[in-house]
Amino acid sequence: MNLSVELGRLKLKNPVTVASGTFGYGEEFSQLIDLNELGGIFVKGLTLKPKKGNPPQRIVETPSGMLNSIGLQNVGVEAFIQKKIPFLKKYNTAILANINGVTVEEYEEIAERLNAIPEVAALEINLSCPNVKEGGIHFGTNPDKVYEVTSRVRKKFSRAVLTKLSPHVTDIVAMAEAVRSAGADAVSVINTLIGMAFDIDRRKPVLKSITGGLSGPAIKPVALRLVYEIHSKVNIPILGMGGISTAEDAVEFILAGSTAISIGTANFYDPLAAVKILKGLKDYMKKFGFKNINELKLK
Amino acid sequence: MGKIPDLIFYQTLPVLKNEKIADKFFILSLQTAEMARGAFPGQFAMLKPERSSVLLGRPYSVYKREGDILSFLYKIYGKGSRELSRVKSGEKINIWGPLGKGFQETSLREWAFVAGGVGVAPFLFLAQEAPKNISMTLYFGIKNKDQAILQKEFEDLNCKVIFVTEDGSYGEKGWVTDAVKKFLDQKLKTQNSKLIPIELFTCGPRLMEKAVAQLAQEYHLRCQVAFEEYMGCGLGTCMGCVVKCHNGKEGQYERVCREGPVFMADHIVWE
Repeated sequence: MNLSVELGRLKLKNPVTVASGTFGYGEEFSQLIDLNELGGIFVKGLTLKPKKGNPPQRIVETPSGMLNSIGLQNVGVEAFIQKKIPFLKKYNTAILANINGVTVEEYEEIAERLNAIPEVAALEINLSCPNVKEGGIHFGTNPDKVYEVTSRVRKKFSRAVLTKLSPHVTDIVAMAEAVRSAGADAVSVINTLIGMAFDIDRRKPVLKSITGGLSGPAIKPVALRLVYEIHSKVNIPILGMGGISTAEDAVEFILAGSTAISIGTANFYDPLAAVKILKGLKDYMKKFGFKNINELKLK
Repeated sequence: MGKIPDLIFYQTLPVLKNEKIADKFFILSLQTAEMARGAFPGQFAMLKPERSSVLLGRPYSVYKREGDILSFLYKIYGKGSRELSRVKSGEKINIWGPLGKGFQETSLREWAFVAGGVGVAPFLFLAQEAPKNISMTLYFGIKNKDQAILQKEFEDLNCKVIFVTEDGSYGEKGWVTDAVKKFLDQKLKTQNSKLIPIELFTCGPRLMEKAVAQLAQEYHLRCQVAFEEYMGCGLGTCMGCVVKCHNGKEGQYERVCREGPVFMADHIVWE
């Protein structure tokens, strides 16, 4: 059975990856699952300098989902290289770095720094973080900005580059087209949807930062539709994500046009989710006689 | 004690018992040799019924260990705990643990536990595991006499129990922190030194914990705080359950699930 997939320059031994911000830098999950089973690990979003993150309360469960406003708390790119890469590189899984900047120059600087680290197989440009005041989603909702950041990171990084798209746009095709023409290898679809929840006892928003990113099964139909639309209209490989919690969900994303998928919020409520989903995908292929995972995608 | 566990397990287990012990208070027990072996006081596990309409697991600290059996004391707060309370013996739940750093070791031989409501949970396990010659007192703040639970359980472990109720319907009336203050003042009167050789431990509502931390500062006591916090994963990856700590110039958010749930009170930036 052939499970290997290619997102442009990025070759993964299987299509199951874990989404940025749901898996830390792999250390905690290594106590529960074998990281060697994963196609790749998108590490917690990195910034040039360490970032403190937003004040709590940062998360709340909502119907079939959750809101988060972490604010990119992370160790910074240098500590990632010094302290996290040595751990991750022990495993046979692709190390995928999600990068964040406030300015285009910051994205370039991180890309340049990580270009010198051959263990980093790909960069995922986060242009769609809803929870930081500058950068993030402000870049991700303007196709010219998406093009500019992607093409400038592209020039600084010689291996694969993916750009993560926000669902908060009127025309997702224009965004994906901008990413394609900027020379990226693939698009990550989708980041969280912005939402909010109220605490009716305190009569205030639950989250200290008022709004947060909605993830989990609640957003799956929205994500599927956006993957499908990009797949129909833009010639670029897709890393599909948004509420995947079972192998059946993963199959849906592949049918919609994803070459590979990411498990996000499910990691929180079922730490074995990624491993179970990989096994379930294999069972599905066996059941329907597929020899190659790439045959599964709708043409 | 006080270190991140080497071994974490994820298991799907039938519930042995899930009993109501007072209005809204329940004790759930599970047989798990693996988790029971490694667990230490102050640690917790994430629990989620196998058939559940909520998404995330809920964190509960270990209340008791009897051989292979771990028990969790919990109170119905919201949807997750309400669902848990409806799980019957034999029905399965998913559990991952043991998680977090537990209580830290101390050389002091007199321990005072200051608990608010269900915050009492980790102290029974701590009392179970305490060395023989420790003198222990539980100051237990509750709403009213209906919540006057676990007295025998603590006394069987040679831990004295002082109840403090908001309405005076049982034990002393007032705030639990007032009872602790009174006790500390008395201690000061009966000794020459200004230093009281007592370790404080507290768990309960954040405002109560803050008041205990202030007492600790005022009386120069070591104080360990176990936090109750809303969590996403319990493992340290979602970064959802942070608390602000003194660390560097501007302070830093540390994870209740990983660096905690037990912190030294003077490490916390009380807001």
